Amino acid sequence: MVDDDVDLLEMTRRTLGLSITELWWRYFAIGGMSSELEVEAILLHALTPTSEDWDLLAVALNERSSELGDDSYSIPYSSDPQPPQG
Amino acid sequence: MTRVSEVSRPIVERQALTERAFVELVDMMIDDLDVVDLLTVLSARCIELLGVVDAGILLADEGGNLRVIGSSNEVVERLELLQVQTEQGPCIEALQTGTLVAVADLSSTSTWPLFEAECASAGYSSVCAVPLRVRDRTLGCLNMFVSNPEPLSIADVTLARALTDVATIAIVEGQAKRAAATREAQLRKALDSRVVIEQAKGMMVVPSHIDFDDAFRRLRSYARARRLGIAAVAESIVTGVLSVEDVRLP
Repeated sequence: MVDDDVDLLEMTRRTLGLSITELWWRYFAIGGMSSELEVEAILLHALTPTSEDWDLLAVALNERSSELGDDSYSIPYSSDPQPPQG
Repeated sequence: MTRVSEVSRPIVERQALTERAFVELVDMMIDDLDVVDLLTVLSARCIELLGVVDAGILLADEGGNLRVIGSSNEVVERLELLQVQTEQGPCIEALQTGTLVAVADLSSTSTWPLFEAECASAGYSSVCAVPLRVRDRTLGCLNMFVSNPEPLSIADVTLARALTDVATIAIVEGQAKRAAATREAQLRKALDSRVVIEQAKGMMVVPSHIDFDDAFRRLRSYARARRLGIAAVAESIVTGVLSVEDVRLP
């Protein structure tokens, strides 16, 4: 995952009004194994997320968006086809 | 046998009332604390023990907004509200500084003109505001009104502080208990969700000849396509509402 991708996680978290603690609870509830501090470090670019962590954070954020009425599931998962470059 | 003399009887009675007040406040900590009840008892006991005419309490809510709680009458409630609205008055000052604010004769000062004028028309000559403070947190303020233009004695102020401290500790303890209960419920919910997702993955692995990561990808894909939560899909599999064969990658 590149920096821009991590920015998408953090931007979405902020747009949804989720605190890092709230995001961590959602991530933990679906199987996340990293601590809240590690999740925060990922969002601050201090840690590079594994594809598992990325997917779990993306699910947590996409599900929260859906709860609020936005079903676009805008954060892609690691297994999604990459958009064409250029 | 020593008899209580007529001179010492008021002292003994006051001591008994003081002890009862402390026991009453501490006793309220045992069960689920009702903060309004606690502060009503605090103001009532201060009136009973300290010779003040009336008392009112301001308490900050979770958002930091001040609320009037436990006023002994409507006049005091108005005076407390006036302080909140104008952001001026002994209670506000006690809240801001975290220290006791006492004015022995309100007619001799002009620090808070509106408040002082309202006090004068209500017949209050003196005021003493005691912050509800523990460590570096100030949660609210007890405001006591006296009709004579005289300061409370040092003994009375000390007692008011002690009663207020006990009430404040009870409030903080109640907040900590509620926070722990909320966290426990949150943890239980999260663990239930994790368990059901793991169960569903386990049920998918063998018949579908896939590993756990693939099982999660299938759950995620199924949930996204139907705008469902992963935990809800997992629950459907575990309870047999949804067949493992139905949860495939597109």
